[in-house]
Amino acid sequence: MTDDTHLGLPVGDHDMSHGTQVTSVRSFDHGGKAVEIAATYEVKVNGVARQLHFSVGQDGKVTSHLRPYVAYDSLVDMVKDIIDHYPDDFGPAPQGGHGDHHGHGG
Amino acid sequence: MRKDIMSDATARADYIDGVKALKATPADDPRYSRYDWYVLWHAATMMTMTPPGNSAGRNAAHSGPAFLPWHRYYLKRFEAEIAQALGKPDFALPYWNWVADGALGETDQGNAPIWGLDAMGGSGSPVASGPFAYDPTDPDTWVVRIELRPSGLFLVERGLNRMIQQAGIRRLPNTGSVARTLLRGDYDAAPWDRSSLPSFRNELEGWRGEGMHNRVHGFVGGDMGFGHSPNDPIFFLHHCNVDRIWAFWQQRNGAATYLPLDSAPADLMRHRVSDPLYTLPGDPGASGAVISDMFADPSASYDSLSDLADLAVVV
Ligand SMILES: [Cu+2]
Repeated sequence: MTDDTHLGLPVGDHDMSHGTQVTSVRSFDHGGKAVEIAATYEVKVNGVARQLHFSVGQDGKVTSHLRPYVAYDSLVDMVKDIIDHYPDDFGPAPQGGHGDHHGHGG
Repeated sequence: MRKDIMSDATARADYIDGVKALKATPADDPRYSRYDWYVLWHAATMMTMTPPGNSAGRNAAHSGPAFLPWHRYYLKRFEAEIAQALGKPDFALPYWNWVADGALGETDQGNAPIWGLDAMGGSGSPVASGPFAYDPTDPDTWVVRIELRPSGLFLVERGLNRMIQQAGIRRLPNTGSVARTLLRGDYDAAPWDRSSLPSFRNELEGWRGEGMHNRVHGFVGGDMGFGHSPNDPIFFLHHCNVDRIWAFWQQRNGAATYLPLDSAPADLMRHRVSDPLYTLPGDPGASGAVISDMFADPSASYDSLSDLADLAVVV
């Protein structure tokens, strides 16, 4: 996969333009009171902060265009799933053996 | 006429020849093909959040009202380009009737004729059988070129990945779920995202209940689970059936029952009835199409809607 090329197309509004922090604000009314829950998330893998293109909905479920047909109950589930499905995108492969490359989605 | 791909050997052969012809046609950027350009278009649409930074994950073609019209536009463009590549002006996209396969037993669903050697072939990473099997020694083999990754869009070279029933989803939508979806009377509803209820669009997209369209992506697995899902030619057959279901619904409910209207707030950009359908910058075939251009003449395109009519009865 070493010669894969970044296409660098001017598409999407996440890429390059945002940092790695994701802010979520959930607001609702309860018992006649206006409630707001604000949170800021940052996901680090092997100590490196990563942009995983996710958002947290009003119901607390998490979605990402990296796994677009799924809504996760927790951010932990989402991060595990993304790491599993993009094994080559999170730092160098483990030492000792190239193995056969399966690409993504396997 | 769009036909059930398993009912017509000619439609099947034309589709396989057609996608291979597009794979062999260079795009304006000669590093990839016209087929790959469609993969890129879909992935870029997925990355275009509407509005930017929204918390519902709504993008220009998913998790929102434009899901059905945008994919209809995408299929029409793809269909027209295959017709041109084959020199067959009457070419029509066939569909995979996963509603019918969903009525089979679990084992039979994974072994249905659509996955046969003379149709879409089977599973593998890469796929090992059928017309889209990967053989690096064959210059005409089916090669995946476009990937959507955490750091953006990449040009790659590898075989197609497909993992039928192996990604935790062993069953297609069941006929009860299809029937419930068909009976929804409202096209869509606030807040116009994956939590909308009652919403025909949201149920058909698969964010409610058992999951319709989304579940089919998970059932096939492999590349079908990503933003670059059109790398698998089953994508277009799947979405043609989604479109057929919308056509049936339009026939029942009126073709122009779309919501939201143009008076809806600006944060529903790309999803209001006269908003332009997203296409790639520099799209050589850009026509300025808007959502309402996709409403006309829906059901006449399909060989049959009667299986859906049989399901859509209140019991
Ligand atoms: Cu899509």
